[in-house]
Amino acid sequence: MKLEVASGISLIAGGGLLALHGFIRGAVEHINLGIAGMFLGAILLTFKGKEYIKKESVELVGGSYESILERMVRNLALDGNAIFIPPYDNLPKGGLFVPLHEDFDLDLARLDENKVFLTDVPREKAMGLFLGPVGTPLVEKFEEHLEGPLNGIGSEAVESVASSVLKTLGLAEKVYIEEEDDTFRVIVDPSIECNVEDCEKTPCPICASVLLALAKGTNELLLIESVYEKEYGIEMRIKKLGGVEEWM
Amino acid sequence: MDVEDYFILFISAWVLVSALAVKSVDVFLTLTLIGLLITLEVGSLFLSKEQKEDLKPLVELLIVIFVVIVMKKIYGVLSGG
Repeated sequence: MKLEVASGISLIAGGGLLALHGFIRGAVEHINLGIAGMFLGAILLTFKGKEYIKKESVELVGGSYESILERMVRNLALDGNAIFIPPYDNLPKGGLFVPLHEDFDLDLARLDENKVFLTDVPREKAMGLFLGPVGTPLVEKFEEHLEGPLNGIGSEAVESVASSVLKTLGLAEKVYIEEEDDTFRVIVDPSIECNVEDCEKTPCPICASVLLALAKGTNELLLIESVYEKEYGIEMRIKKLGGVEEWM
Repeated sequence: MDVEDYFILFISAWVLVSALAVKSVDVFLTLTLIGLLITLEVGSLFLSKEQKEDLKPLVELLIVIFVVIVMKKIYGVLSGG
């Protein structure tokens, strides 16, 4: 049995006995302390009765998947940086697309959830790799905490909910989003070890979840312009590419 | 420390101070309800839906107790006791 569960049960049992003792003796302090014990036992079971795995395990398991993606992108010689697409008819959860060329053309009508390599397009500029909804489970967690969809809630609300959820899950210390004219400055301070190499093309699920949530929250396609590792976290320059209808 | 740890520390301190400072079970239970509601309101963004759902029965129980306390007081005032 876990220490937290054992402590919770002991507090409830001990508190119950103390409250009973106080009730028999007519000692209000004992009754109060007994009830306090039972109450704190219940709180402890609610907050700490969950299973956790070590941070190191996440790095060990997730790292291999990340390297597979990086190798795939390098092998395909994709020059473009990652584009985050907000949800629309073809992609109800939105997604991450890496264009073949830096000077790309996007044909959203040809994308769908089952497509990975986008090659059946009239122009080579529109080709690319669709990596699907990277970070979607975390975006779903953001919406669960928000108790509603992220669609169109704005960058400030996205910053608030992403920061809270990632901090609660122990994945990031902070998330900061600053909106400029046609760009966003996004800072994520991940709690796990992060390598920014190739992050412009294949961001990790933590950064991807923030950017996908931002795309969803602002209803704009977002292009990663640059990623830097600073002493205060990972800083990303994100360019707004307009709404889905502009690329259909 | 996790965010959850801060909540546990806050609610523990609140409940223990209330238990030791007040000489009435009614006032103590009312203060406990207030502390729990503050925790839920301030921490709503940091708590998962599951945790909030798990805390609901506790809040509901304390609200029922609070209603009984209020009814008792009203009865006391009306009966001139």
